[in-house]
Order: sequence, then C-alpha cells, then structure tokens
Amino acid sequence: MIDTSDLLLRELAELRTAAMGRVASAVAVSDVDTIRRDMIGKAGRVLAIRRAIGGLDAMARRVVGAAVNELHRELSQALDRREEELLDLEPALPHPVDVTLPGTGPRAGGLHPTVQLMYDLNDAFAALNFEVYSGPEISSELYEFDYMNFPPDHPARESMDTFWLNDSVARHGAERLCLRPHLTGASVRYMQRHRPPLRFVYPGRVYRNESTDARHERAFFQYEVLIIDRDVPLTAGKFLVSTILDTVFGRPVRTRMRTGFFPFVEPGFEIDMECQVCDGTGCRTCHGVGWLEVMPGGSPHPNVLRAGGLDPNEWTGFYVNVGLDRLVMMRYGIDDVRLMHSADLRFLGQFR
Amino acid sequence: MKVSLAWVGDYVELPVGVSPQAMAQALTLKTVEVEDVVNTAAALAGVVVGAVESVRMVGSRTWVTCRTGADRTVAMATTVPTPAVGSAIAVALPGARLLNGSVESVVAAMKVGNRRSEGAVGTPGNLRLQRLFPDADPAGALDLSGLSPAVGTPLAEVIGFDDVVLEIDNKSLTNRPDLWGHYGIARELSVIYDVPLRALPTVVRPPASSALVGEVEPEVGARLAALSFELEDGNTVAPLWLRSRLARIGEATVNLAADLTKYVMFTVGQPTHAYDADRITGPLRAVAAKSAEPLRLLDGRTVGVVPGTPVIADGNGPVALAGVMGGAGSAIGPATRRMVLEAATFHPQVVRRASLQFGVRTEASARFEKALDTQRVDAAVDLFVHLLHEVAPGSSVHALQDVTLTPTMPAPVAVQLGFLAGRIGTALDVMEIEHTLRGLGFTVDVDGDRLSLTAPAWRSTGDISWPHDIVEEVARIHGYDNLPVVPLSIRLAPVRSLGSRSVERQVRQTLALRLGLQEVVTYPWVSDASLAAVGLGKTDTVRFDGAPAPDRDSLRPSLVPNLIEAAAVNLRHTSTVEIFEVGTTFHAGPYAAYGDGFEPMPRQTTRMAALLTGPDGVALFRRAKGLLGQLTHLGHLSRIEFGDGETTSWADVSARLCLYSGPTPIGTLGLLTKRSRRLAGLDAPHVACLEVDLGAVGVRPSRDNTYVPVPELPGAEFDLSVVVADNVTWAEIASSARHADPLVARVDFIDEFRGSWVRDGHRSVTLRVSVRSAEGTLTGDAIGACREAVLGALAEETGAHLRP
Repeated sequence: MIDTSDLLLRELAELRTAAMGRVASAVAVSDVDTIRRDMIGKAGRVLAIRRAIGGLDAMARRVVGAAVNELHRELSQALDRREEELLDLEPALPHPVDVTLPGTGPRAGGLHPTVQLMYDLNDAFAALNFEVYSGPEISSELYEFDYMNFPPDHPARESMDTFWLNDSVARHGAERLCLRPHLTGASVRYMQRHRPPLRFVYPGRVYRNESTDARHERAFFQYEVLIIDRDVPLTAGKFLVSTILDTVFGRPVRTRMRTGFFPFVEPGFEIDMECQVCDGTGCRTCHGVGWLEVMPGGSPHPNVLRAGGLDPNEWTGFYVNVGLDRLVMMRYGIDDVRLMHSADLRFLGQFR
Repeated sequence: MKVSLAWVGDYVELPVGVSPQAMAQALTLKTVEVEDVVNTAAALAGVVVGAVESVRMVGSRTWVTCRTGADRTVAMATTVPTPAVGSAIAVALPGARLLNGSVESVVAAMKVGNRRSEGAVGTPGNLRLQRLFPDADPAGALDLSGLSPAVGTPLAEVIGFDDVVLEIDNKSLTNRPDLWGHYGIARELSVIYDVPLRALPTVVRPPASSALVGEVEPEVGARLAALSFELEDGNTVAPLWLRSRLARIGEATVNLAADLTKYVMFTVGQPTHAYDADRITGPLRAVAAKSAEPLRLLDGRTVGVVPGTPVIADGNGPVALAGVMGGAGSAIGPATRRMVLEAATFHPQVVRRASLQFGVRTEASARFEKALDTQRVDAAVDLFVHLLHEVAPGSSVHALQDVTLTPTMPAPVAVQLGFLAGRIGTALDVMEIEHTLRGLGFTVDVDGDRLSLTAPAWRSTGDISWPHDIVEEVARIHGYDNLPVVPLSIRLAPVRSLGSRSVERQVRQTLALRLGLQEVVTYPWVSDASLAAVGLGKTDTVRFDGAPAPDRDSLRPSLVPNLIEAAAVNLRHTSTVEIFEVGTTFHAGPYAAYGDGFEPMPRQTTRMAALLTGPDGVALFRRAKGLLGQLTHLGHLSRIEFGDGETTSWADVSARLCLYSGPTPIGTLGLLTKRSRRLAGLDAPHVACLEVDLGAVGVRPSRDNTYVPVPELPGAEFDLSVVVADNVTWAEIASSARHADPLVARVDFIDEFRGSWVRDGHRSVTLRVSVRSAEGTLTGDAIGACREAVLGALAEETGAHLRP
C-alpha cells in the first residue's frame, strides 16, 4: 500500500512541475497573478496539501511540511521573478509617445524688456546698498532747470525741447510745470529729504519734444545713479559704470571716460563703452571709432549740492545717467527704438 | 566746427609720427569730441595737373591731349570747354571720383569711337571746388595756369588740399568759448603733446581816432573797436592759400575783406564785420534800438528791429544786428575800397535773445553766445592787420578807435593740493599740475599745499571760477583713463524687509512671471478718440504744449484707454490679448503741493491696469477677478476687496465690481461695454479690464501664509448639482452649504449651467463639498447624513433643489 505521505509528496512534485510550467509560459502580469492565486493563494492548491497533512504522523508531517514550505518558497520566488521579467517587457503606454510633441507649461507672460533691465540693475545696486527712489513725472522748472544750474536762457528750457503743461505759460520756477526732461531733478528732491552720505538709484521715464525716428523717441527710460559722500573721487564713476555694464552684458565691458559738459556737473564726463558689435575694431554702429557714447556723468555741481541742502565744501559725489532703452537695444540688437512703446506683442513676446 | 590740421600747424608743431586719428582720439578724451577725421585729398585722388598739348575735333567730339608727366600723355574725349593749348588744367585719371550733377561717378578708360579715352577734364563743378573758385565757370575746365604747377602734380597738393580736417561736435564746445577757433585747438594740442605754442602776431597799431566809435551801451556790450582801412585797386580776391583753408572747413569765399574777417574768426574765435565806409555815416554805436524799423540783412532777409533790439547803428540808424549779422545797406561790394572793421564784445544773453527772436543763427552769434573775453578783440585786430599787410601789401590802415567799458577780469582761483588729490582720487605730481596749468594759460603760484592761480582771460567768462574747475583741467590732461579706480567703502545699512519692497515691482513680476500676462509700456499721452471710447473727454485731463499730434495733447487720466488702443492694434494679428501696464496717471482738478514740498501740481498716481480678451464673458470676468486675488496673494500685497459702488463708465452694468482697500474705493473690474468696444474698434467678443490705484496698495510686512495642522485622517468629498433661482448668488449658496453641518470643511464652485430643462429665471449650479472629521474615520452613513443636511439647508435658505 502506498503511504499517504508518499502520495502527498508525489502530488507536490507534480504540482511543482505543472506550476513551474505555467510560470514559464505566463505572458502577462495578470497570468502571474492567476497562477499565484491558484497555487499559493489562500484557496490555492499548495495550501490545500498543507491542510491535508494534519492527519499524518509527526515524522511524516515534518517531511511533507518541509516539502510544502519548500515548494511555497520556490513558487513564490519564481512568480516574483517572472512578474518582474514581464513588467520589464511591458511598456507604460500601449503606443510609444511622440517625443517631439511640444512640452506644456503654465501660460507665459513677460515683463517689458526695459523694465526687466531696470530691475536687473536695481538688484545689482541693491547689493551695493543703494536705495531705489522715484520722483514725479510732472515736475517743475525749479527742480528740473533752476536747481540743475541751467542758465536762465538755456535752450533746453524752450518749448522746442521740453513739454510744458499748457497752463504753465508765463509762469516760472515752482509754478512752471513740465513732463520731466531728465531724471536729475529728482536727485535734489532726494537730497533735500535724506541725510548724507547717500547712495541711491532713481530710474524712470523722461520726455523730450523731438521728432521720432529709429533712434529718437519723445518718451524714453533713463537710469540714474548718485553717490554722495565726503570724498568721492572722479574714478568712482568708473565703478558705477562697470556695475551697470556688467549687469547688462553679463561680462566686463571696456569703457573710457572723457571730458563732457552738462550744467549740473563739474567736472562732467562722457562715458563711452567699447562697441559690442565689432569689439572695438570699428564698424557702422560705432561710426568706425570702436566706441559708443552710452552715458554722461560727473560730480554734482556745487550749485546742485546747495539746492539739495548740502555744503559743497563738505560733500562730493558722482552721477551716472544711462539711456535704458538704448542699453536694451544694444543688449538684444534691437534696431528701432519706437518698438519700445509700440505695445506690439510680436515684439514684447521675444523677451520672456 | 571743422578744424584744419594744416591751419593748426601754423601755431603748434604737431608731433611727428602721431596720426590724425590718434590726435582726434586724444582731443576726444581730453578736450572735445571729434566726430570725424576727413582727409581732404581723398576726394581729389587721381586728379593731377596736365599741360594741354592739343585740342582737336574728331567727328562731333572734342579730343584733348594733355601731358601729365615727363613721358606720359593722356587723350580724353570731352564736352567741357577747354582752355588753349599750353595751359595747365586738372586731369582726372581712371579711378578718380567726379561729381556728375548730384551723382558721383568713377572715371574709367574707355573706347570712344575707335580711340581710347583715358581720363576726364576736371571742372570746378565736377571736382566740388566751386567754393574755392567761385568766379570760375563751374562747367569749364579748371585753369590752373596762374599757379604754374608742375605737370603730374596731384591737384590736392597744388590747391592745398593735402590736409586733414577734424570735425568737432559743437555740443561739446558749448562751455569752451576759447575753442571756437583754430588757435584754441592748437593750444590744447600743445598741452596734450607738450610742444610749444607759437604766439599770435602783434602789429604796430595805427593812429588813434575819435571819429570811428560813438556810444557803447553797457547793456549791449563791453567793448567796441573800429579800424578804418583801404584796399588798393585791383586786389579784391584773397590768395589761394587763404581761400583754400576756408574751403577746406566748408566756408565759401566772397571777397578779400570778407574772407579776411572769416579767417580771423576761424583762427581766434572772435567775429568781426567789415562795413563799406562810404555807406555808413558817422561813428558806429553799439546800442539798443530806440524805435521800430525794418533792417535788411546781408543774406537778403529783412527783420523788424524793435525798441531794445541790440544793433550797431550809424548816424542814420541800425546798420547791423549786433553780434548776429551785418546789414545789406552797409555791405561791402566788389568795388568797395574804403572800409571800417568792427570788432566788439557783445553780451552773450543779448546776442542769444536777438538770434532767437529773429531766427537768425550765424557763426558769429554762435560764438558771442558762448561769452567771449574783451581781450580777444586785440588778437582779432592784430591778426587782421597782419594778414592785410601780408596778402594785400598795397592796402593801408588809417586809424583805430577802441572803447572798452569793462575788460574781462582774469579769474583768480585758489586750490589746495589735498583737495585736488581727494577729488581726482590720486595725488598727481605738483610739477605736472603746474606745467599743465601754465600750458593752458594760467598763472601759477605754488605756496606749500596751496596753488594761487589766475585763469587766462579766454577762460574767465564763466568757464573757470572755482577749485572744481581746476580738478577737471588737471585730471583731463592727465587722462581720466590713467587714473586708478579707487574702491568705494561700503556702509552697512538696515536690511530691506519684505515690506520695503516696491509694490510696482511686486505687481509687475507677479502678473508677468506667475500669472501669464504680458507687460506693455504705452505713452503717457492719450488720443481724444481713446478717451471718448471709455467715456472721458478733454475736461478730464491735464494738457500739455508741443504734443506729438493735436488730438494727443492730453496726459492719460487712466491706463485703460491706451491699453484698449494697444489691444485693438494687436488683435489684428493675434486672437487673444492678455496685457497689463503699470504707470503714472495724471488727474485734472485743483493742484496740490507735491509730496511734502511746495510745488503746486496736478495729482499723479501710479496705477495698474490689465486687459483680457476672450469668447466667454463669464469666464473672462472670473479670470480677471481671479487674477486680482492671485495678484494680492502671490505678490504679498495688502488685501483688495470687491464690492458694489461707483465704477467707471467703461465697465458694463452686467459684469462689474468696485475695488476697495478698506473703505476706500481704489479701482474697477469689469467687462467693457459694447459701446466702448465699438468706439475703440476692438474686434473681440468680450474684453475684461481692471484698473487699480497702487497708491493705496502696500506690500505686507511679512508673509501672511498660515499653518493648519496636517489632517491625520482621510477626508471625503461629494458633488451636488442644484437648481436655484438666478437672484440667489454663489456666495449665498456657498455660505449655506458651508454652515449646514459640522463635517463640512470646504465648499467649491464647480460649474453652472442654463439649458432647456432648467426653468426660466433659474440655473443649475454644481458644487463640491469636502467633509472631514477630527474625531474618527468617516463612515458612509456619516457622509450620507452630512449630504442630507447640506441639501436641507440649501432648500431652506436658498430655495435650491437637487437637479432631477
């Protein structure tokens, strides 16, 4: 007679052969799940055999029990292995994605390129402890011309250069109002309200009564920097200029300072930068000289310091003023300044 | 101003080996901006002297043969009237550039008939030399026989055009009256290159007279000198070298006396004027006109002199506009022999006003406006007499009268070496400082650390007056580029908190970089049509003179009109527009002191406006509203509340909100009215706008996010679609649902719908209710009970019923 335990062992051997065969021929993860359920699940055939060994003697129970455990372990491993093999074969998508499809993202907006540059410069000067200040766009002859040391008959005071409010005719000084022709008047406002030493920037838009073309605008942005301290050497200007140009172009740009004349500075400078189109070798953009005039500057004229309530014998300083639109044009190679105020989205969308 | 290097070379030995370009560069860095360096010989390249050997007619053409070298002849077919055989003419060889009418062409050898033509005959016209040879036929061969040039010599050499001319930007000369003549530039070059400056000529003055100058009014000028002289017959043309110099700097030549006055002005910067002595009566006076009368000027214009106009008058009245232009009635002509030369110092403001008043700007007025010193009259008179003797030996100088009211006082300046070092950033050698200043004409007295200086008269009319001016003189000649960059010391200041950040920047960056709008910048002025489109008119605006167009003389009282205009333009090439602008608006009404100051000004505010277009009005309105909420949240700005109230006329009655900061209205949000869209030509089904006064908006002092403990137990949510009357708002529905049961944690709007199966005056609203319990896991029964509670509350409080 055949021992029950032998029967069970034989059944286990057959089960093993059949199960391993099914595992090997499984073609999907779902097949593996089915085999797992059939074989080693709670109602599976391996556990059914385990339940059947209850009636065996202790010795046989140990032998068959060990065989059941061994088969369970072996099947488990085989199923896991096959499952991983199948997972490796199965792609996440039934059809491979067209990887050349454009990516998606949030809706794209953007800052105006001049404003972008203004903020870049604000950040650079903030790191040097400069305050940001702004004065009014409608200002007075007092601040824009009288305090700026413009002689009473200076041509810039005529309407041909400055936009005067139409009720300002025949008025003078604080009562004659205009759209500010430059930012410099705001420096006196700041000086009058702060105690030196001072270091601040005051960007903004200014207005000149000019005819417009690709290089000239009636409304344009300037960026002005003023430092006031007891001993500000002329060469401080070079430092301020380098800060601006490094920020704009992301690399050091060669500059030169030469003599220039403006009523509100003494001495005054023109600061040129090396032409970025030809690297200083001379081209059409720089009229063959290798340099471009980018910013005037200089030490505040003693009369300007006095207007700001500062004693010129005690305080010195340095102004740097730069045409922001012009720097933006150089930064990107833009050839028509009128685009800046065009609100044309085909233009503005390029600077996101 | 154009400066001839040959002319400058009369007064300073220009250093050998320094190119004109290098000289221009040095002047640009240290003195004035040189805009261009022009070789005047370049335009005459390839043009040489030829001796006419034969002139023959071949068929219908004239053939001229010229000898242009020892063993070289050139045959040319020409239509130019040619001088006789043996005369010397200008021959343009192949490669030379000639002017034909207004077109430049290059001479080339070519076959004409069966012969080769190897050049062209030069004329004053095609060689661009009419100014130099004003009396010659511009279309006739340029006859050089009188100059006896050697054949083959380049024409430029013969007429003195082997020169370089520097073109100086006049703007960079405005504060330097001393540089408005070649001598001033020569002085600068002598200092820059440290080479000697030759003195201007001085002459023995003619006998003094008391009949040449009458009254000089102190309001008009400080000095008036008059010199009487006489030319001999037959000498009325200036010599070629002098005319050539004038031509090289772009000046036309007229006659001997006039050319001499020009030459003097372009040398020393002092304008002078020659009168026909037989056409003036009595002494010259520098006065303000006493009565109104017409005065015909040299250029043919007639100006209306009024009382107060500065004039030179003789016994009969004005003969010149003082410092601007002479009169036609006293002008010298070809036959004039007896003349009076006027050399004066007029006040700059007086000349400037007269020049502006009559719209007459001349080389003379440009110089007087810069403020000339009285001493320069001496230099001008001496140079004039010197040249007169040189170029017209037969002429005679009779008498001089000179009235000086107030001579220019050389300006004394004291400066400490320590001050110079502090301002320049480095201590320059005192020897160098002294040498530079002496070269520029200063007298220098060094006493320890102190320099006592006297500026030369030519720098003492306002240019040099205090120590800061000396800083510039010393530093510029040393070279700004040679100064070391001194690092600046940094003073620590309190760090900037979130709250001190700029509202404008937060708004711009949040809208552009996080909310997807494009920033635009528009002009501060606005068109009448755009104003009308938003229901505004010119009475609502601040207006200004000199507007770019008559219908754009209003400053914008709102950002919306220009945004609408920008949207209309962009909608021609794009389907949707989402833009914003941050900028100043200007408000009509009574003026108020600006800030804490005293200037009475219109109110100026900084605003933000945004504009969105799209097909669905409700969605657009909700996006605009959402933008504002997101803007204040992401930008950490103070709260902007929505409410009823007065809005602007562009906001449609069906979709608008008033914006508040606390109790203060600060703006409007809404859809544009159909009328506004029509008037603005906006080709979009719907347009939403919002405008906020940023003056009332602040940046929060710190971040305002709040922490809520993360729930440990899972929540659940269910959606309800209820039909509700149109007069019940979402806010009422949400509030009712939110408070219906303690388990309700949050209520969100999903959608609303109107359709055939929804009763008139009603809509179906879908809301999502999120439930959460702090006590334990939510059971299905608890969620069901909550749902019933919400429906019950909605029915009772809003009349809403579950959609069938």
